[in-house]
Amino acid sequence: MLKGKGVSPGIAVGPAFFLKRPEPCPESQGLAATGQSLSSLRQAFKKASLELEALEEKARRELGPDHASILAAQRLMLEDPALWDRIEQGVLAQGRPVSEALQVAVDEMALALESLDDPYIGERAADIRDVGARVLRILRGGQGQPGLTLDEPAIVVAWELAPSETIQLPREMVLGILTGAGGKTSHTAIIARQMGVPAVVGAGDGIREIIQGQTLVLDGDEGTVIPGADPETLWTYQERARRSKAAAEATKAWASLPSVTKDGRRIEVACNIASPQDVPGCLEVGCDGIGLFRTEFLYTGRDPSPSEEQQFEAYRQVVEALAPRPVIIRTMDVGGDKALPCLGPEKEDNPFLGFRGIRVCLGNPEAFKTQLRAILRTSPFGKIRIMFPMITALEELRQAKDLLERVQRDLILEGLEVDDSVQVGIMIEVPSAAVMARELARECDFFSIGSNDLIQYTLAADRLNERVSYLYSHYNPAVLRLIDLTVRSAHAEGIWVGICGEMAADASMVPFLIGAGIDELSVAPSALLRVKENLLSCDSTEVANIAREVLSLPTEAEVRSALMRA
Amino acid sequence: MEEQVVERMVTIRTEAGLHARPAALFVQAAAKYSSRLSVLKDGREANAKSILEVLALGAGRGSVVTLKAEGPDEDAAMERLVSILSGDI
Repeated sequence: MLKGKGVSPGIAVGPAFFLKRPEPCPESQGLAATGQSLSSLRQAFKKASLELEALEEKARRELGPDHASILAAQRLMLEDPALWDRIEQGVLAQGRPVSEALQVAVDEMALALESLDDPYIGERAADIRDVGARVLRILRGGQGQPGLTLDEPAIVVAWELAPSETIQLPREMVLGILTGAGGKTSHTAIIARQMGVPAVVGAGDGIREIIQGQTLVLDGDEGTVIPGADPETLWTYQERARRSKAAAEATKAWASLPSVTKDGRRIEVACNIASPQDVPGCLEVGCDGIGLFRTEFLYTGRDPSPSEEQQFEAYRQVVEALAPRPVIIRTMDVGGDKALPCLGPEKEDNPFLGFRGIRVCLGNPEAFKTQLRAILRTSPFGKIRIMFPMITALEELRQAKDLLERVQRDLILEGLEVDDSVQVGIMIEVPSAAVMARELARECDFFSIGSNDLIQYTLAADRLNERVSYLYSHYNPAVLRLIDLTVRSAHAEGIWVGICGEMAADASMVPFLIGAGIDELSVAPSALLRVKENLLSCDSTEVANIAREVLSLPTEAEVRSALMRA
Repeated sequence: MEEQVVERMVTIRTEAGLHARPAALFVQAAAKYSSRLSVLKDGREANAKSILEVLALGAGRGSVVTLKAEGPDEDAAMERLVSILSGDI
């Protein structure tokens, strides 16, 4: 069994077909012969351009305009004056043979792209290398396009597939893709996902053991490949393939249903994310938005804190990907168990009761303003909402809003575009905030209940402390009554309330939460469909009764059994 | 008459910044003018007619760059490139 990275999900069972030799090609196969002149290089460039034009057409027809534009960009690279200048320099000034000058120029420009922080641009490096390889093949007297034909549906195997090669694989014939090299963000991975075909990359030298035509089992989720499996294993995998295809189709169906109760009341079902990389998972399950975008990923392990540009790029990615759905961006929530070097504090005796949440934001006003600037600058690109963590008093909300208003005025004075209808809300995760919810609701646009911390602070019990973790429970009446108080206070002031802690993903809690009047549930992408399923079977009147009953019960055990019965 | 360099600061508003397709459109437009055209970001300068140098700038949407134009059609080139980056086209 071979192990690599599963980059495109699904199971494929079929014959292996070697597109090319399964070994890595030596880096620079320069032409031994000289006698290649700059003018023959020009000819080679022209021929390459024509080939790419044909491929671009094919890609546009079969895979869509985005993939076609990769090839259009490759053609532009052939016309790039900077590339030509470098090659000419290499030949005329440094006396290199033409093919070597080409290779050197290509390597230099590829490295310049790879050295950027941006993974998207790093992938363009593969394009310039692909272009260089094509021209070299033509110089060598061959076709720029290696002959790639498939006679029957097969699992395509190669050491590496260049962008222009993956694109020209006939879709209907490809059951799966397996490469020895490559990673998660390689072209192969992206195109395989686009084609909806299972793929494993980075499987290593082991692929050389595979025999042409041998039946392979390829698992694009686990990243495993089994050559020469016995009939029983084959059958098991084929079954799995059938079942996962059915499940994928069911997911697609669920994801597209609107999030409403049985009697038509709309509840937003959103996702919690910790970084831009979580976004695709959210889109797949059809979220109504992002209920919690944790921004700490930008601050972890970094000293000094991230620049405004870095933050802006990261937030914008998410905002644009979700638009027009709302994205609630929570300002940095560090401290406690998430202490960070750049913002302090150093070790505390009582981190959960210490310098964390909004206190860190207000205690590091420059860093806080930088973050607010970066967030506000994304407002023209989608629908953003801003949320402050761990507010314990009205004064904190006012201070934070004051800073936000100053930042907004600065940006407008600088001539930058800012949407002035951005909703500003707070997390309710501390009992004092629940008690003062009415007053807080008058000065912000929404609440989001952070149930994990609310439970801990209300019950004064650390869920990770084994001696007392038994006290931590979603079913504790005090917590439920604080939630009820929060919701009623919010609605009395005309603002909405969401919930983003683990309680929201607990199927048994959904009826209570909806019955208590929660307007938005935000959960991990993996929990969303389940929550939606629950929601769809709730009837507003019924769940309101359930909530009323539950709120009258004095012990956790009674709450639990009431909810289990529901 | 000595030709002066024309300079303008622009905030990029095209959908994907200066990545792939927009970069290609930008470079193709620049190629039509005879003036020397460059794009500067964070102190790095790229030839606006070179797709590889423009991509290497890593300029996304919302980035602020400086355009420079020098040559017989510098004003026309500047207007056009500013329009493209501002998303007017």
